[in-house]
Amino acid sequence: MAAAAPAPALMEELVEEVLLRFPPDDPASLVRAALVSKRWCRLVSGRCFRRRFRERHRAATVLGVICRMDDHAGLNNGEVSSFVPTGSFRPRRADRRDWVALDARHGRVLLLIRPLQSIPGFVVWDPVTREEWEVPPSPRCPHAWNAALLCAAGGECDHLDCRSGPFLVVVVASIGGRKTYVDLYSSEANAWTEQASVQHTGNNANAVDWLLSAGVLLGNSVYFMLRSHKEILEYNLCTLEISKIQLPPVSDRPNALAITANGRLGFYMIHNTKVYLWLREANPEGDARWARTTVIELETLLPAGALMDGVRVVGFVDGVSLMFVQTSNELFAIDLKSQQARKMCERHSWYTVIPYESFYTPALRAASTGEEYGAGASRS
Amino acid sequence: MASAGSGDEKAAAAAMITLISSDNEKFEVTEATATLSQTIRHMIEDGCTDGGVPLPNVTSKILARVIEYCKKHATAAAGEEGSSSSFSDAAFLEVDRAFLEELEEFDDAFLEVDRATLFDLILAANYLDIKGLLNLTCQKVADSVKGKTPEQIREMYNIVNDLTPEEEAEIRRETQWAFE
Repeated sequence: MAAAAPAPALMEELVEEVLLRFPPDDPASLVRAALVSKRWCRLVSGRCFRRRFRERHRAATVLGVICRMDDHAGLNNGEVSSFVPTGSFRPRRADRRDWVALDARHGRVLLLIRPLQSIPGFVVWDPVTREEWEVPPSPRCPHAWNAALLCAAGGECDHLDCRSGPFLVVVVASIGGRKTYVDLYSSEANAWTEQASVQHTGNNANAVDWLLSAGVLLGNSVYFMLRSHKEILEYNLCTLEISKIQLPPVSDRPNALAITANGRLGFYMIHNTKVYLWLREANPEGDARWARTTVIELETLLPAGALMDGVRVVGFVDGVSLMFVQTSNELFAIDLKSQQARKMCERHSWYTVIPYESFYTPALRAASTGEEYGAGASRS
Repeated sequence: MASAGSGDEKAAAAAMITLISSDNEKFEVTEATATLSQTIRHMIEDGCTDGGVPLPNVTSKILARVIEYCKKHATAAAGEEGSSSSFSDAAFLEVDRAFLEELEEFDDAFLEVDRATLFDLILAANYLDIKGLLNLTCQKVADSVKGKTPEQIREMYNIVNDLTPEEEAEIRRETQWAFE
């Protein structure tokens, strides 16, 4: 389609180069571009564009957070996991009633159906493509206390476009006492396998301990905070072993959140109006120790009076240094680089907040009538 | 017009390349300037630049602008290299920042062109494979398009909407959030 005028000539040949430079934190701009013409629609919905867009922008954007809270609107005082947007993107079915969001990674969210329901089990949900995968409950730990969702390819994958690929679910549960078990689900095998277990001394763990902090992935290990034991549980996906990492004595407050920051394991905790970041550092002898690295004063960041009734760190995104803190009835996103706080929503009694990082490129059905098409909304 | 400046013996001593535009105008540039283009770099490596490099897709008007860009960016790169040995780290960072600011100002001024020229520059940057220039010009277009409605984009770029009303309705239904 050679055109005489320079303008159409550009759009024919290089429209992709232009659209690749659209801001990833404003997905609505790509949707508007899709409505320009058939060609533009196919282009932004295409596999090739999706791949190139991710490669160009590298780091996924925080499109929102999934807040677990009491469902006052629900029929039986259940729970709701709600997607609260940070930008223009809105998923369909933003409120998942009676489902508990446990984790999100590489564009997908792990949801647990509340044990009150008939069959406990999991769903892996992609809010962008709307794909869902059902995961049966673990036979040994049907009422898992916490779980993590991982890409099955692990370190072999750049995680730019693995959102529809095979995945693993790691669950941790304590059964009747002082032992904690880890079970592993593989979507490829569609089966659970029993993994290691570890004995606890002292108090039994309880569900509240587990569920207030999502698991974090670092290297080949996934870590779960176990607050009442002042421990972080490490499950190594290569050696398949569980080990326990003691937290420093200062962590006796029930608000620590396990995180990764700059490639290290750490946790945030709050004392009065200050947030303390502790990181695990290797020393020359080969063992690791905890070191307090950063102190953030919330009083100057949050509006006056926001800290009156206590505050909790509920989420953190490494890389962009975005921290989520919850006061008695408000949720704030704090950008630690610019030292700016932004109110995200108002609500009472929520439990935890799971940041949702993803890329958005449209996958429109209207595009699939042509030669190239996107992921669509298929279920697998 | 594009030959090395007088007094710049170093540049004059360096290998020169002749670029020939579609309207047969010849431009003499240093190898350092020319090799910002990957396309020309490969031609030099293959030894096929004797007698000049014909660029049948680029007019003299656009080629002059492209060379202006390459000269500035090649000079900046050379300046950075040269300064690193004679300054302390702090002074080097200062010089580095000054270079970057100057380049940014140059780029901003460079992009003050009409839309047709901007598009021609994109086509040339793509054809000559000049990464920095392609990024600069495409980003400029992206910034001017990203906040626009589909209707405004079509009008700006003279694009015919060939989506059927049904397809358009379906897209809007699927992505209602984007229009709220």
